[in-house]
Amino acid sequence: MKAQHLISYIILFALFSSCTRPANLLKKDLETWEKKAIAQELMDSAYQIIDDFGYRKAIALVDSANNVHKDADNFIIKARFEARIGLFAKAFADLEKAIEMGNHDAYKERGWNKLYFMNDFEGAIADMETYKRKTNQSTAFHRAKNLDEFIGVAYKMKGDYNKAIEYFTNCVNEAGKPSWVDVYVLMHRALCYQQTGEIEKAKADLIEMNRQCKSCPEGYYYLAKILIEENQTETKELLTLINRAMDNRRMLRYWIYHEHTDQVYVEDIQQLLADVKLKEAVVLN
Amino acid sequence: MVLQACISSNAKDDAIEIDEKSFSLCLAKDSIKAYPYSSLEYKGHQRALRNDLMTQLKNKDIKFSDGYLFVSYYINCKGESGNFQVDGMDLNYKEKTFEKEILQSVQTEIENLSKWKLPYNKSGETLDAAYSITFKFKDDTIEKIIL
Repeated sequence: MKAQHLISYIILFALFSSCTRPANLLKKDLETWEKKAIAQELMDSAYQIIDDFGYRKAIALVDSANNVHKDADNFIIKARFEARIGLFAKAFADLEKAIEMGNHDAYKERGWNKLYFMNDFEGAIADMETYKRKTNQSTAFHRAKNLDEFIGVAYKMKGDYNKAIEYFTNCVNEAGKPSWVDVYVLMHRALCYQQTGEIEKAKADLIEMNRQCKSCPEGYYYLAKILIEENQTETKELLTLINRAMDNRRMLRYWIYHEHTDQVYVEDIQQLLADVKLKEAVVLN
Repeated sequence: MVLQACISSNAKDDAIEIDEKSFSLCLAKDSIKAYPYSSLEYKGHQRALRNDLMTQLKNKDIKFSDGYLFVSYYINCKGESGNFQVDGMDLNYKEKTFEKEILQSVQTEIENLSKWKLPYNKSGETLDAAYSITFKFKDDTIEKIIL
């Protein structure tokens, strides 16, 4: 009898533990999922309130989300919001936290901040290269398709044009088809070729850019500039390019897509126009 | 112009306000968010703005301690600057509090900028605007102005 009792106790215990262990696990998982869901709701709300309540309120919501469930991605988003209102010290501190939590995307974000906001080109290159090394990926963000485009821009800004050409060419090769390349890669590479004295290559890239993007004023502007310096092109053709640059001036992108830190200004275009007209007057006289 | 005597990194607000002089916007702050008919411009554009600030600040007998100084402020419809806020970082991107003398001289030079072309709405009414400038100081001097 006692042995029978003992066996039944053992069977009951085994049954009980097999039922309760997954239940405990399930409860824990549910709690985590619940926390994650709440945090996600808060993050979604953070995005939604930006327009009406501003970035500071959105940052507060991200903090709340992180209190419920800490996530490295949330720190990156928070850093993005902070950078938008000039809280750079906090933005960099949050990206540091994301890196400490093992999020490699934070390197990419920090590299972008260093490049775009701080003009710290060496720092940007170091961070973006670290991202590439750690993830074996070179996918970019901010409309550019390849991180090498930004690394190339950083080298170009440093004045290392050959290295920049190397990175821009990587982008072109990896794109597969010419139409899949961001046209601004071609523009940047053309400007580097111009600096290294390879004018024909520069012209070819700008012509390709203008073919692919009919509304990008930069391509027309820089091509006109090169042609004026060459002094071999007819005035009519130059005027067409300058007029197109002028007509599409509203489509100018932010500094990273222009030559050096200066924008393509209306004044610059008008100056080109004046140069062309002056040359024409000299020829007529 | 009254600057806060002590600018603490433990300030309650995230960005530090460096200016307490009387300054008012012509319209509500929210109106700045609305897209104006024309945008804020500086005569000669960013190049001229950068040159003007650089020239003025380089002429000052001040040792600028290393770091990045981000200044954001408003320009009202009369062309006056105010509501200055700053955020400081050292060159390693760690939070930093800049000396009062540096903040004061930067604010003064920004206030002296007079070539603004203010934005206006469809009926030609001049609007308020917001602007921000980042200064990079290195080796006691101003290395870069990022606009």
